[in-house]
Amino acid sequence: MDKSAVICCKRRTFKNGSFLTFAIVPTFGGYLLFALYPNVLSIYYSLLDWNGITKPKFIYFENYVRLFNDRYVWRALGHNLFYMATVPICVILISLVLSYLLTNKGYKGTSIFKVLFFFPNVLSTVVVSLLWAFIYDGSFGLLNALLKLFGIDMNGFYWLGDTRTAMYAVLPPYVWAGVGLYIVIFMNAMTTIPKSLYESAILEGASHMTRLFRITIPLITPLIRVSAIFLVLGTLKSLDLVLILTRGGPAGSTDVIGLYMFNMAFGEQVQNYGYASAIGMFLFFILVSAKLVVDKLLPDRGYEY
Amino acid sequence: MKSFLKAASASLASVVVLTSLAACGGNNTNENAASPSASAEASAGASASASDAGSQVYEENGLPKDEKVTLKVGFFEGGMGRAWFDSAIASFKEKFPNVSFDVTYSPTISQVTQTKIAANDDKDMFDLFSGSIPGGISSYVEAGKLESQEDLWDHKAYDASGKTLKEIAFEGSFDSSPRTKGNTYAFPISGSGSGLMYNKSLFEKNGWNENPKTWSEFLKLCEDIKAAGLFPITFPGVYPDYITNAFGTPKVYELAEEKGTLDKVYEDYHKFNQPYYLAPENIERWNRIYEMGKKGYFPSGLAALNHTQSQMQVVQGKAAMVATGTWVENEMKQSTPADFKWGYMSVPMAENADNTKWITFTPGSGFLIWAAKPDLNKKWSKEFIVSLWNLDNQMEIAEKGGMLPLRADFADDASRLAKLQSLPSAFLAYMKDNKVKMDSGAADVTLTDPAFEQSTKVISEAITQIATGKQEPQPKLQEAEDYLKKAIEAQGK
Repeated sequence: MDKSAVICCKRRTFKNGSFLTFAIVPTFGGYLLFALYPNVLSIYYSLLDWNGITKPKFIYFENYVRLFNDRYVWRALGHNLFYMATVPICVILISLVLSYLLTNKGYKGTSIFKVLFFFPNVLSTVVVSLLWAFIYDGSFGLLNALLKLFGIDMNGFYWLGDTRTAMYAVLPPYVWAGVGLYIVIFMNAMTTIPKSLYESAILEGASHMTRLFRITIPLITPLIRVSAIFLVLGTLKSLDLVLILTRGGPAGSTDVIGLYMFNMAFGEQVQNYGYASAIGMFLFFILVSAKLVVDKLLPDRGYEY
Repeated sequence: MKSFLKAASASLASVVVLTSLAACGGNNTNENAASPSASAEASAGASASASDAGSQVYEENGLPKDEKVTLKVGFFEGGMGRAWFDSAIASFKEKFPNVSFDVTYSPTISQVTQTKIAANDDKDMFDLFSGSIPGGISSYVEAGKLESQEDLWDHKAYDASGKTLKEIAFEGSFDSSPRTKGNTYAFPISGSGSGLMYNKSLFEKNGWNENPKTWSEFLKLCEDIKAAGLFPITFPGVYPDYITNAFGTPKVYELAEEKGTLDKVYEDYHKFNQPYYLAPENIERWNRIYEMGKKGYFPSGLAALNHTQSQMQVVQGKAAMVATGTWVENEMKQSTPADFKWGYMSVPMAENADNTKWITFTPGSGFLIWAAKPDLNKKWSKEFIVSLWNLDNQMEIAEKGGMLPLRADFADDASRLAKLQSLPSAFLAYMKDNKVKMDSGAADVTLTDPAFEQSTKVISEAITQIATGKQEPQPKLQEAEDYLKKAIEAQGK
């Protein structure tokens, strides 16, 4: 290789190197600074008795010992597990059925339905929460009015004000707000499935249910798996909907771990970043475990077509 | 060329990283540095005042006329609205033209403040801000982050012929003002009374007792209201602590006074001496609420009600009284019919009609001053707070903010009194017609251990259950007492 070719090659390598530097450093630097660094710092905070202002006191694993003996943590986690077990299943099932219908039934207003179903996703959680708070209102709520149409008088029952119903009443807003996005995702996935597969199934007399469960769902399983992971992790982490709808009440019946952690960090009476960080670390452990469980339960099996 | 390019790219990459770090790290040690504009202006002003010191200061406060200062203010736009504040700023700027204001208005200003505090950038921080800091101010006071305003009590008012603010304050304001470690940090500019606010016309129409003097009379009133098909008392159960507006700590003192144990209970409650939750007077308070709950005196769906929903229950005639503060009239003025008139009463806990009625009265709506701001800014901040005690500003606070004025001489002029909104007027009338003692109900000690948050959580979660007769108070009080014990022990370590 002559000298000019070597220089040219080296210059290209350098150009590639500087391009990679400029492309990676700002984004990776940002990730390190704003995501990884605070999270790693939380591990340290979780070992402190510290309210963010006064001098931190190193207390080793005391916050973790307290956490495991804190019945509010376990109660909140129980509620989280309930939402984790119900929200993803409801969202995925409803999304699958609706997207299958919209894709394969050839309705006239498919695109309008798509927009309508997606609509809750463009609303902020505050709007969604307030909307549902009005639906559940005892005096003027839509739900009680609807039940009255069917002859059921709820006598001004406040669905979010009773420990027997509040936890279940929080479920529909979660599902309603989540379904739209997954309908769009699943519809786009379903349109990529070759029509010939359905045509041959129809020729063999397969019903819609058979086609859905034997062709559609198996072929988009990787996407369902990712959706399940997103939904499980999102449900475990979320606190905004509960914060606005019930603030964890009545009598703590809708308290979730994120809200409890938030109240420990920014509570009315006490601010304890150390203990809140310990709860955060515990939540992180649960999130990782949940991800591994979902991975195990839903195998990563893709098909080529 | 190659080495130059390498060096240049390496430098550029370093600059990117360092800039990010600098932007992130910010300035966390610049405690006494003035803001850029303030310091530049201050130094320019300092030279000017040095040349002609005599004529360059204001006669009223001795502060320089030619040093321009911009005060950054975080303003809590809550029930009082902002009209009174804008008016106060306008009159202050007119009097002191070198002072200007950069105001951030928000109903959730405490979150903005908290974010600024977390950013640890004193330059960006407000000079003064209203609203609370989540978690309370104790730790900030301990860390020297807030400026004491205790000296303002001895500051001369602008329009009271040389009298100090303490001298012109409404009786009880000085004593019941919230203090941390013995100092005032948010100098009060108005007062608010808590209790039961009711639909006066409805009471008049039904001939219900508007001023029950004893517990039995009060229960009879609730019975009458219930018989008429209304819920006697409501409150926002989503924020259950609102019940304390009517049944707060001062009611424990009222019961203690009747039993002759006031001194002990008063001290115990100020110092978190145990038994605290299990003090017999406190058990009695919650048992009474529980008994009322069993009789259906509170709405069954209480736990789902927010502020607006509970207050609307009174406006719409579904409930007769709401446990809240005198600010509710201003808060609800857009939703109440023009002829709606609010009334005020306190819950009488004693059986002797002549006993003192203890009322939660909170001198407040004050502004906190950030200690790490330039001295001149802090001085002007304090002067602005003093100016809020001017009679014209107190008038605006009462008329447009719906709050109680703190100046005793406010009532000297009948035309001023006539401008008060109906609820503050009703509150003052109640005070006139009854033997009343006002107290903020606050403790002198602050507990910071998470177990304290858990002890209040136990009670907070139980409130709506107790008030609807579903939960006996004793087990919850016991649980809260146990958490409190842990918190006290942890604090004593």
